[in-house]
Amino acid sequence: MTALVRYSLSMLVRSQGYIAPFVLFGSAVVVLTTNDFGPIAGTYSACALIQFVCMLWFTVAIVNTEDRTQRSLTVVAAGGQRRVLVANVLAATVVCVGLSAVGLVYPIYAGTHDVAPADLAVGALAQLTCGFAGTAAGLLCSRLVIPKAGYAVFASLAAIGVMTMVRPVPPVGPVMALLSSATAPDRMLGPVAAMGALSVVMLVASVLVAELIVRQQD
Amino acid sequence: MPSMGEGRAGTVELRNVTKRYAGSAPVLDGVNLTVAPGDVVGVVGANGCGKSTLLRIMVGLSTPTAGTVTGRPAVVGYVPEKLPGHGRVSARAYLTHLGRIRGLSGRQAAGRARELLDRLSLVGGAGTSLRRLSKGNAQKVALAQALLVPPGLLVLDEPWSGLDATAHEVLAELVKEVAAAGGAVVFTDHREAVVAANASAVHHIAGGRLTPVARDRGASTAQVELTPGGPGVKWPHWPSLPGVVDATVGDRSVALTVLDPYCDELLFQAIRNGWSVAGVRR
Repeated sequence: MTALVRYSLSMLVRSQGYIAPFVLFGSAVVVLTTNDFGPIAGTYSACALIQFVCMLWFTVAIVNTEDRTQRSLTVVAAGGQRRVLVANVLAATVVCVGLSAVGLVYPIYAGTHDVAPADLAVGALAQLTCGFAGTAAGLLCSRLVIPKAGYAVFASLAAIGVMTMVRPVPPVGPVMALLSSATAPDRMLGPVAAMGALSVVMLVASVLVAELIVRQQD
Repeated sequence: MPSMGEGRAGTVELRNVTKRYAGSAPVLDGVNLTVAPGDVVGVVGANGCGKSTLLRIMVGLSTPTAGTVTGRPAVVGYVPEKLPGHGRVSARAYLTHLGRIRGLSGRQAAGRARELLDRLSLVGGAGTSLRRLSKGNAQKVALAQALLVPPGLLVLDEPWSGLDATAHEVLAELVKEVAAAGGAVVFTDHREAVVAANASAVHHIAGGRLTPVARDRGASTAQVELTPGGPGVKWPHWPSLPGVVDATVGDRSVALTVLDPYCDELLFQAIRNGWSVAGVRR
């Protein structure tokens, strides 16, 4: 599995598909958090939103680096479609952890905030939660599931719209709402962790759905 | 590195395999095929008749609508008709990654990749990116990735297409080596003569049905006798040449049995390389 994850990340780097979402993430974090002040949970809310959008994009880029034929070679070498899908998700998770670290530390460095350990825990959990949700959505918007690029773009935009603007739809909306509220950070931990667990379930479900759809297409 | 015996399995069997896509006639209809270790099975058929679908089902990329596939070994090598050439990754790096995925260490994978690419004479070198490779050279990389670890089942989709004459010989050798090591080989081609020249068993596919072909059907041959035109004439490995079914090599001449479609080309190449035609009998 390590070799597959390494291969996925290597293909992402060589394809340069990481540049656009990385630039978007960096720019958005800098613009939204530099010289910010007040409760840092609210700032982390913005980072979590950006994380969702960028991880959706990153995941599409990771999966789409291989076309159907090249992917078939990877699948045969790996011993099954599911193993490659899981490797794609793990590669996305590596990226997500990296972005979360940036999204966690940069606002502290560039703004003026009182930071408690609970703030850091909530911030990390929130960003990972939204990152996982973005990965799940990205997998379902990739070429594997939606072969036509135009439809995939519309599906991605629809997913972003629904998940971020319709606040009751978990986990992104509720996490953002919670972090933007006046709730104490230590009291946010439980609900955010629950949303995190939900995002992991979404991730697993997205792998299974993608596998099912690929099998039906073949 | 995995031993030659790794990935070996028993007989691969397709039983009543049917593949139907929504709203269309079945691509495969009740296909039965048995491939034992050491077999080299050729499947011949027109373009679009279901050859590639059959191969994708054999390697597990596609699921049959009905029927079963059993006995698929742990290590399967698959060579598609054309490796896409838009990757920025070099042939060496690509093969090293695929080798790692197949369980080799980075060093083993790189070594095996170098060995295979040298043997296949990849033009431009192993550092060339996939997108810069010609069709033939991309095909060589596709072949190499399937052979990084000795496969229990090697499946090749029109592998002779686009390869140069030297690579034809090497491919024929590689196929024989896989079979000799106990692997099963299945390949397709739309040219019956190519299949007949390289397979131990031939099947014809049409209308979704797979039917075994008598070994000599459609494979009329010519008896060719050649003598070297001078002392410096190079003696090739006659049995590996395209279309050569049998070769009897003497001190001063060689007698070949050549599939008819290959006869003219073989004679042309022989004369060009300094050989004289002592006789041709069709």
